[in-house]
Formats: sequence, structure tokens, C-alpha cells
Amino acid sequence: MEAHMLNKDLVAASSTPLILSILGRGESYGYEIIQQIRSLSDEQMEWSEGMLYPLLHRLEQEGLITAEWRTAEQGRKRKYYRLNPQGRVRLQEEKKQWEVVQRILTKLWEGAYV
Amino acid sequence: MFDLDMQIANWREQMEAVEGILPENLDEMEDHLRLQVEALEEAGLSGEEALWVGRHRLGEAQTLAEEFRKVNGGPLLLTRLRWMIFGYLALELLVSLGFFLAYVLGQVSLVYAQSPEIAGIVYILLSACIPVSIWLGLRQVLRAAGSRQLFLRQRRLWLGVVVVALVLLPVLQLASTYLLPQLLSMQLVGQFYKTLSITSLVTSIGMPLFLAGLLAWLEARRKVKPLDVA
Repeated sequence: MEAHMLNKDLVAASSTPLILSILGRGESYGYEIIQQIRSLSDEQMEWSEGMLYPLLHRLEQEGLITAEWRTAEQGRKRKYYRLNPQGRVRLQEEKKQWEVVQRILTKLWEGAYV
Repeated sequence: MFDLDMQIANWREQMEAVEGILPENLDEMEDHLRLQVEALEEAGLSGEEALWVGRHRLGEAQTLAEEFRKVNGGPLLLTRLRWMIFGYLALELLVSLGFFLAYVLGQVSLVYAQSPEIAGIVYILLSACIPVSIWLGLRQVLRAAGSRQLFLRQRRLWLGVVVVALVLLPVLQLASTYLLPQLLSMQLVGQFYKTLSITSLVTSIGMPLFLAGLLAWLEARRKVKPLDVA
């Protein structure tokens, strides 16, 4: 099967719900988040990986996620992120909105209104 | 031989060169890059290839900095402020060192020539030449040192030098004002001080004009530079 890359606008629009959803499953760090997106999308969603970090920091500033520096293997510093209660509320809102979009498109494509 | 640590240090330096990305952001991305390189090496790529792919996936410094600037507002302002204070102290040191040397040598020539005119001319010439020659000398030292980064990393040392000099110079100056009237007639000293006051008046009017001119000149030169269209 030929892999179609998602267009940039769609990647940008879905970035916040994606990150919130991944962190909703448990805490994580930048590299791991990127790997999850890569595998969940069957490599059809490509990020300029560095862009994840300003986005994480923005979500942190908005009070949706909490970050913490920890020491990982070989004494390396690693910043872990986790969803906080405010982030969970926001994730629920995002979910509702995306479900609306999905429902509309599904109805149209299934021909219910044709 | 491929040295990953050195290559990563290079990458960091390139990222640091663009304003917007803080050291803390680079720590985070460095961890990302290292994990990526390890994974790619495990998949069979050479160290060099893995690093190239990892860097490419992270993105270009300019594009990343643009995004980081949006979230790093506060800390970036602090960084700029730090540099402004550093620049101010360096300039202050340059000027007061120049002034001090001109002042002392002016006094020495007053003692020998017994003429306030000659001493005044010596003072004016020196106060213009000394800061310029210190500046040029400093540039030469910088070139010889090879790396600007290396020089700038000594920030604490330089700050110490500036602070000591800023305290030391006025104290020495004060001491010389006590000494001078004992060597010379009050009239001569008075006339010499008149020259100093007139010079400082001219400087305080001329300096802002000179700096404004310098800025305008630099701005004009910047515009002339052709765009680098690849």
C-alpha cells in the first residue's frame, strides 16, 4: 500500500489533541511521544520533530501539562511530561470537537445525505 | 574518526547561534537526538548517517527558533537584558580607562610644561585615541584567541575586571586631585580643569550625535548587502 503523508495543516491542527491524548495514557517524554505518533499513524504523519518542544512548552504554560526534569540512563537529563486535571478537561473538549468533525465527514461519505 | 560528542557539541553551537532557543531547550533536544541516533545505529546506520538523519528530523535552527521565540518570551528578555548590562559595563570600562589615562597624562604634562594649553591638547588627543586603541587592541586579542565563544565564556572574569576597574579608577582619580594642587599653582590647575569641563561638554553633545551617525551608517551598510538567494 502506498503511504500518503498527511498535509501540514492537518498535522498542525491535530497536534494539541494528539499530545494531550498520548499524555492521557501516561507520562512520557519528547522522543517517546514522537515515536508513538510515528507508529500509531503507520508513519503517515511526519513531524518536524523539534517543533514538538515549543508546543509542549506552550501546553505547559497554558497549565494543561506538568513537566519535570529527571535523570535517565547514563546520567542523562530527561524532561517528562504528564497531563494534569486541567489538561484532562481540555482533552474531553477536544475529543467532542473532533468527534463532530468525524461524524459530519462519515455521514457525507456514507451517502446518508445524498 | 567520527566523534558523536563533538558533533553534537557542534550542533548545539549552531543552534545557540540563533536567538530564541534557550540552553534548557537544547538539553531536551540533545536527549532526543541521542536517543534517535542510538535507535538508528541499532537499525544498522553508521554513526555519521544516524546523526545526519537525526538532525534532519529535528529541523533547521531558524525554523525551530521562530517557534521557540513564541514560548520563550520572558527568559529571552532576561538574556537580552544581561547582554545590555554586560555591554554597558564594558563600554563604561573602556571610557573610564581612557579618561583616566588621559587625565593622568594631562596632569603630568601640566607639571612639566606648566602650560594649561599644552596639557589641554594632550588631554583631548589622548581621550580620543586611548579608547580607540584599547578597542583595536582588544579586537586583535580576540582574533588571536580564535574563538569568540571562548572569549565570551569568560563572562564572570570580565565582569570582575570591569567592577574592580570601575571602583579603582575613580579612587585613583580622587587621589590625584589631592596631589595636583601641591605640585602646581592653583591658577594653572584651575585652567586645566576648565579644559576638562569644556571637553566633557563637547563629548556629551558630540557622543550621542556620533553614535546616531554610527547607527545610521551601519544600517545603510546592512541594506546594501545583497540577499543570499540559494
